[in-house]
Amino acid sequence: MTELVLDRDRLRSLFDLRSDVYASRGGTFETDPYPTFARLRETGPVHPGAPHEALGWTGDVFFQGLPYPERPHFSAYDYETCARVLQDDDDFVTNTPALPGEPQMPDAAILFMDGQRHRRYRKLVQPSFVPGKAVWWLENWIRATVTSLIDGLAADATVGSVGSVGRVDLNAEFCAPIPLLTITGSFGITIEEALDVRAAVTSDGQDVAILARLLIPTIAARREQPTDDLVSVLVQAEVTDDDGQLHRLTDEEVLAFAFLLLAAGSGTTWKQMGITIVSLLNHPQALAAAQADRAFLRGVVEEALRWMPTDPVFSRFVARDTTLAGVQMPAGAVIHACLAAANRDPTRWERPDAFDPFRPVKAHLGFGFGPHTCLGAHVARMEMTHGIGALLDRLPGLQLDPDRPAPRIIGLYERGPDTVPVAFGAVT
Amino acid sequence: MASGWVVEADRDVCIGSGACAFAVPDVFDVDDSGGVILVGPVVTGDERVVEAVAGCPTGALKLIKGGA
Repeated sequence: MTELVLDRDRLRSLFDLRSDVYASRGGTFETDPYPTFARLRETGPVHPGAPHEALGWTGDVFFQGLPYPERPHFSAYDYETCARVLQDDDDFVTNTPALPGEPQMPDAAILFMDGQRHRRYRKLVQPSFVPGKAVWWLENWIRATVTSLIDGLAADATVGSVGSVGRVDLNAEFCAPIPLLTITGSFGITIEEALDVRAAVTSDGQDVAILARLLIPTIAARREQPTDDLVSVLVQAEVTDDDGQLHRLTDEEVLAFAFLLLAAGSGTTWKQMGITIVSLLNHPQALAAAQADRAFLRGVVEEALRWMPTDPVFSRFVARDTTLAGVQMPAGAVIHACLAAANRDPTRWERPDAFDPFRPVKAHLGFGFGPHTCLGAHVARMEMTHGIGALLDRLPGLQLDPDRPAPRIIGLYERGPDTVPVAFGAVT
Repeated sequence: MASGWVVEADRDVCIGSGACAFAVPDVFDVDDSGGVILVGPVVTGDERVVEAVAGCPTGALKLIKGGA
């Protein structure tokens, strides 16, 4: 197994919610938002304003559906209303509707498309992301990455051990590289270039130029000679355009897909895996069950997605004047579906504030809902169940490091642990 | 009159997310064109199927509880 060559300092700075990279997402927000969410659900479930305003955050925010200061904002906090906002394509849309006198924004990436156009473009990549394809992701990219990373942890434990105990912060050293190297690998991007890509997709300048420089040669090569990766899927894809003509995706269309998938694929699972590991290690019964049977991790991952989704909000726009849970909202308004609040709706879950992986699995909004439901959900699930399973396999006695401050889940529109400090015994 | 549960799938509404196939793989799958297919019988009273239908992101699945 080749050793992974990643600049550790750069890795830590790119994957740190407290860093400037996440300032516009409220990365340093530390208050537990759930008591406020519960109150808003009980007194709403729909309120005027955006979730960060309800939580008392006064910093600047740039996120999907934000800031749009010229538009009215509303937020929904229960399961039924959030599910409707996300699923109903007649009253709600995802591409920003133009206000009077404004030009219509282009919808280059599927995240900003609606209706049949969204369906046509999403279907190009959907077959690569279905449950049956999870093993393709595992064998092509996930397994090798996880193995290499744990080899590295094992080597470090020998060098830096205290007694026979290894100690590491899994946040940047494990949770971040797995999804990063999986999605970059699927785009033919080398490990050496992976951190450049992450920096490009997190810059608010939306640094498409860096991405284009890295990807255009690969796109050209795959057009000549397809291989077994996602770039090859995209360059061979044919889509019916709005005029009814069938065409192969242009380089610009491939790059639009690439930008979205690289950004979404390299950032979300990092934080969700950290949340899942911290939650599991804080729950001795669940940890024992997972130690005894790796299949139990499936329920652990789902419960963490319900209990603490890394993306707590998905926002859309009101397409036409409508009434939602008794609240009138005009066309063009922004409606924020608070997935995190919906996932603790007591009409759907008993003891909703408890992290309980033993509860029966029910559909949740951790991956969103509706036509824009997370494309990479099954890849993310595989990354988390395989990654955490491999930690349990190879790092006996895995526990939160008792000599380090307990991890805190921080962040406002992107949430995750500040650190994931663990200790373990002898490495196998 | 038919008895037992039947699931109807609207492939024009289905987006192929595979949420159902993940939840109940012995009943649902997604084919190469990215649409849901039924791969096994729906057992009357199977609560997993109720959840899969409710959890379909695009509302493409319908559960018909046939009368006795």
